[in-house]
Amino acid sequence: MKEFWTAERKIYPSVFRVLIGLVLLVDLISIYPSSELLFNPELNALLPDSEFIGILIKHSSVFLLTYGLVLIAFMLGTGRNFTSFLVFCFHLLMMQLTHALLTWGDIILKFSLLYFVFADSFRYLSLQKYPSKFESIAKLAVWSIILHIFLIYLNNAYFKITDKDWQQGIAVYYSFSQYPGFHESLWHPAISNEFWTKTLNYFIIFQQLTFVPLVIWKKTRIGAILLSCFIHLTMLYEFGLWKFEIIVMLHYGFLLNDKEWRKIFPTPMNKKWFSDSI
Amino acid sequence: MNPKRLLFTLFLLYWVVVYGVTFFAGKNLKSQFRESIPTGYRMFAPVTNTQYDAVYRFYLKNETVKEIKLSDYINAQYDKPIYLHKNAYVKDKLFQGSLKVLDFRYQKSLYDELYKNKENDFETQTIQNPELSKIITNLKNFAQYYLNENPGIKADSVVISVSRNPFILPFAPEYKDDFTHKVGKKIFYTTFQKFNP
Repeated sequence: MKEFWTAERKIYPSVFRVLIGLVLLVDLISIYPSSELLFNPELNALLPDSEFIGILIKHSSVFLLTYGLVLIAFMLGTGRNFTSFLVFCFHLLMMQLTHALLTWGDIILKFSLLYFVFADSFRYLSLQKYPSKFESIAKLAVWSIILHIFLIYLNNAYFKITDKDWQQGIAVYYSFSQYPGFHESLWHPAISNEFWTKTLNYFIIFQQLTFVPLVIWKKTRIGAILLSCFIHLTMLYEFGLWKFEIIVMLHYGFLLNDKEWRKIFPTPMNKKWFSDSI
Repeated sequence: MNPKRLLFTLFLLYWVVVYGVTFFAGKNLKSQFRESIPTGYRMFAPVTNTQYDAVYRFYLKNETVKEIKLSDYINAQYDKPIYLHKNAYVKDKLFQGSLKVLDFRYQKSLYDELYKNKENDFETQTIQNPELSKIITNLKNFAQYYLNENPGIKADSVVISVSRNPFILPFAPEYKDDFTHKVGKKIFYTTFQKFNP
């Protein structure tokens, strides 16, 4: 258990930087064709009224292009922590502009990106490698992201235990049936069956409640993460919320330490990309 | 004090506050902190136990020229290639996604009327409540958007009817332990829009 809190986590912040940058860039590109509808106040009454947001809406193409360039710089690893800060700021502005489209993934990412500004994420996979000069702050930033993940699971479990639909075992049915295509889904027969839907309902509560101790304990860590990934992949397929599910799955990487990541990555990859000779 | 210790103490304090607010604070306190710290997550939760739809009936000189269901239109958008799904998602969220809020206000007004002897102010709210009026504006905006997409349809007005339909549990069809079932399946909001010639 002590190992979880003391182990080095210097590899994954760089991997997370590249992958989350890619997710945000793909999302940005996919939004672009809808910008004429999304950023048109005559068609979208849900846009915020503030003057500053009004300027961004007026010049939405410039805003989207600048955000795209910042994301590319972030993925390539230029500009150090200032680029991370810019990504956080642009993500906040994007949340304001696309309020109607927000998922929990965006809200989780808002705080994670804030903590990530201080992380040592330019050590690897960067055009120019910059190890952090403030190691203690970088360590606390990664711990903050981990404590944030734990908060998400514990709070979710707590909410489910106190919620009427979850207590009665019918929440999973309601959750699935909100999405189009549920009746054609592979899960439809199981979710429509009282025994299976209730079993799944209580299993999800149990999984969320035990996630934190199982992740802290070394022997169950990988299993707990794989199970959570399976649940999120199922939701990705069934609900189509790809951005939310990928954001959550990318967060799991912080729960593994450098030793575990070095075991996962093939040796040539470790030597080429994650060597400590800077 | 050693700067590293001070930093660690501040870090601990921050997380004690975050966990404290998340688990022990009331709604009002949480709303004050919501923008600056994580204050709780309620994910993978059924946001509603009801299905919604809107029917648009377009008229030209009092004659119906076209009738469409919003859900059919949105579902057809998802049938397009996967790289256009975000576009479908945007339309879904802008035009259909907020109907649950409209219904929630409708249910609440009805509940207050039935059980708290208050006047049913739903109609007033649709005009005065900024959140509801924006949702209704977007409902109307869809009609204009649809006409822009289909210039072949000539219309001078549209009547929009928003309906609700509570989910029935397949394994417990008699389960009606929710106010949404008392409200029932019905058209709960109707509005219209005239187009400029």
